[in-house]
Amino acid sequence: MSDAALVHRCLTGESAACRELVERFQADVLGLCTRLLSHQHDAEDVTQEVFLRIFRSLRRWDSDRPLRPWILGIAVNRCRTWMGKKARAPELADYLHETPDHRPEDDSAELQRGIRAAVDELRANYHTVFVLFHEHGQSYEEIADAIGAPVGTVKTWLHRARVELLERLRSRGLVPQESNSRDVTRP
Amino acid sequence: MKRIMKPLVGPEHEVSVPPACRATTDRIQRTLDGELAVDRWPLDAHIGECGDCRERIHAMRLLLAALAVPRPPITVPAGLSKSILASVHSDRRDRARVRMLARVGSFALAASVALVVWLNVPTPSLSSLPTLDVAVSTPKPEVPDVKPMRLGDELAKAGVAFRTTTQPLTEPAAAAPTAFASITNALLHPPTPMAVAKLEPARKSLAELPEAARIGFQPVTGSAEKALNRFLRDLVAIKPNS
Repeated sequence: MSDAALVHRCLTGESAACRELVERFQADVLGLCTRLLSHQHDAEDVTQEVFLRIFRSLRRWDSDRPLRPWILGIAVNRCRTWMGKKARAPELADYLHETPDHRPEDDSAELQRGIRAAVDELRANYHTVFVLFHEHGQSYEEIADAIGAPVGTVKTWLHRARVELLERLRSRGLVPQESNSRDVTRP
Repeated sequence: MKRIMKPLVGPEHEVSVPPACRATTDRIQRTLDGELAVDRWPLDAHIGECGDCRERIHAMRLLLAALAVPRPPITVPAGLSKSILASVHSDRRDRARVRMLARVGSFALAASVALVVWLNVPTPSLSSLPTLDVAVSTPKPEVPDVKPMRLGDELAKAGVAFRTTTQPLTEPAAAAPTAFASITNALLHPPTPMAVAKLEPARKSLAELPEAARIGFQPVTGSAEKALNRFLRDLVAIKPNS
């Protein structure tokens, strides 16, 4: 069923359609919230809020535009609001919510964590566009729609995010420092 | 942060890139955007001659390698959709109730104003209202333990409830039950036989209202809402001196 048909059924109050809409997009929304907030429990709470907003404003969705970027835009906005609240009221015992990871260490896991940490350290705007582009496959235009910024700004932020990420990875020793001079005619 | 390599070329740098390098920087950009695979790059003598472009390509390769590292999959917790749907349904119920109260409140305000006008009762303060004592103006009440009540006071309470609420009139939800109770009370204990006749349609539609709608304003069913609408219509239809 198309997204537009699903939304139409949701608007008629059909419970099965509402369930389907949640199940169709919950992984995307939760994934984005988890990456933007770096906190599983917060991400679940915000995901719930995101769907409340989605159902409240479903009538305002323009069916000529794709649904997924619209939903991810709401998720980005809720995450921003959540981060703003967190910044105003820091949670002293936040570490209590973190589950210690006792899995055995290996290089790939360490690399994964290093890259994730480097991405998470990007400033908020760069982080958002980087995650939307590279992890959620959104186009420049869709990201611009989602965050309410011009396409040119999105391109600039994404470029800066890449440069900053590269520098962070280098400073963490996760990518080699020396210049590569082999095979100079091929990338 | 110390810059340790030739930066990738971004949109803001395009004008400062030497013309000979632009084809390479454009390919780098398209490759990072996922539009051009690395193995589709054409052989380019410029790369062999330009140290800046070699560094840019090296940076691109490092970034692509980092992006190629798989992210841990997001696991949707069991029961997440269930809790989302529960909160959505609860939110819908709450919002429907608030909408209903706001609607009822607005009608009740209009009705109270209409009744006040009809009875020519000034509304600004309780003390200035004329008193219409049931015990004086009507025959002896059939139920002896019903206390004499003042219709003007009841109507004024309805108005005061709205005026004193901190909510704007578009959301008189908090005040609506009070106003509704006041009007109901006034209708059930009319001051004069003449008033009884004029209030009869509204009293009749009030009697048809389900208890839940009368007491708690719960938007229980569509039929309750219709009954409430009929009651409010009859209430507002009461004309002064008609």
